[in-house]
Amino acid sequence: MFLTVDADDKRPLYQQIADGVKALIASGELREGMALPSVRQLAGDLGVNLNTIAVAYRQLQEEGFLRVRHGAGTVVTSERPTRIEEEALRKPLRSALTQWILGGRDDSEIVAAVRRELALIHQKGESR
Amino acid sequence: MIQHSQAAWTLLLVTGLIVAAQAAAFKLFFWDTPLKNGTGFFLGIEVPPGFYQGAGARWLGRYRALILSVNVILALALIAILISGRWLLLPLWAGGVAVLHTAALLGFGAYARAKLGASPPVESRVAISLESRRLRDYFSLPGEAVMAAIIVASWLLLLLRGDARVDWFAPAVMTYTVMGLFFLAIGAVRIGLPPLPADRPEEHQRWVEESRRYGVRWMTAFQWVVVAVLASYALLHGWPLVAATPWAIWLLVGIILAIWLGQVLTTFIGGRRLTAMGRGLRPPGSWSTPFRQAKGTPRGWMVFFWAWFAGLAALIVYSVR
Repeated sequence: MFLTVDADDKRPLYQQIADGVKALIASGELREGMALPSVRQLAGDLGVNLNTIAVAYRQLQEEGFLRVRHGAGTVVTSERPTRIEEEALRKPLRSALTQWILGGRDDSEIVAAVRRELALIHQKGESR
Repeated sequence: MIQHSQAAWTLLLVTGLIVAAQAAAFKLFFWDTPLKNGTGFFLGIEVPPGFYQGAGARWLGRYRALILSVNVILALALIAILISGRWLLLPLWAGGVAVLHTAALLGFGAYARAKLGASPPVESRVAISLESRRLRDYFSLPGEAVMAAIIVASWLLLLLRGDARVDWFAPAVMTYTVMGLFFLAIGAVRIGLPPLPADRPEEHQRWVEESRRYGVRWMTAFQWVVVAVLASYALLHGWPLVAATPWAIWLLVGIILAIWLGQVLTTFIGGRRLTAMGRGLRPPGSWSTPFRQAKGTPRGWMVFFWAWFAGLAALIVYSVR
């Protein structure tokens, strides 16, 4: 199971890591109870400051995706709310759609892209 | 010095086996190692096309001259041991072969990396594995406990019942070697290797992981060889019955030989498997990321290795004085 990070990505590194973990959870590759590497291991492998990984893990912990379990390290949890307020979900979607429209894409192209991305997430989940 | 003439030819046989393994190791290090990742690399450092038609030939020559010098020194040391009849130095010599080769490779590798690999290609997109590395996945805890118990028992036997011929530097050097290898093996699990290329991360991860396991296996096998020699030494000097019983000496020599052959097989089979796995893949440290410079072996591990190596060299020089 791998996380991909890109130095050319505009998002800060900790955000890329947090988003990557969420994507793996959404696709079903990371399931409840599975352990993640320690902050030290991930920071050492990536060659970044411990804080970068700690911030990503803390964010995931606050959002209910991870839990620090004594003796088992950081594990994926299902304590997060199953239904998130629709308005909270709409905001990033709206922002992304605005970017696509400003990027010169018409509605049919955007819908096709959304379908492709959804298929990709489900496909990853099925191939695990 | 072992006084049993019955065992003398056995020791000669052991010497023959060691020399045969050493010849195979020489071939591996001299010919195969610098080009094991293909002609696009030199000791795992990415080199431009046509490198071996120009500067590469000189680099290869320098590397091979170093390996040849190391082997000449080892051959002279072996001849000196055989002529002087100090058979107990033979296991130390066999250990020295492995340690000296590793030191030569690490030292020359670091030098070549500083000169040739100073500006490696930089990849902005990288992958990292989310698999946890736990010590218990790499070490057998019961195995380590048995090893520690044998070391303690050997020391107790020597301290409480050792005869007048005990040369205390021999168990000290062996214990120092085992302890150093233990921490080096832990370091091999704990150290972070560079991230994986975003292209084919699974294959790279399998290869990197196998390299790590190979390193740990090799060090553990080496530890067992030294522990077997230490235990035999303690039995020969602490239990008069063993020293007076030819079959007991044969048994000890057989056990040491079997463990040592296991280590030799680990080295060759594992090394060949790793080379096959790494064909067409990019060695860690041959490229850089914006987050991390290309490094062959992490600095902390290298510092510990050189400190341990210097201590070992000092102890060996002092013990053969």
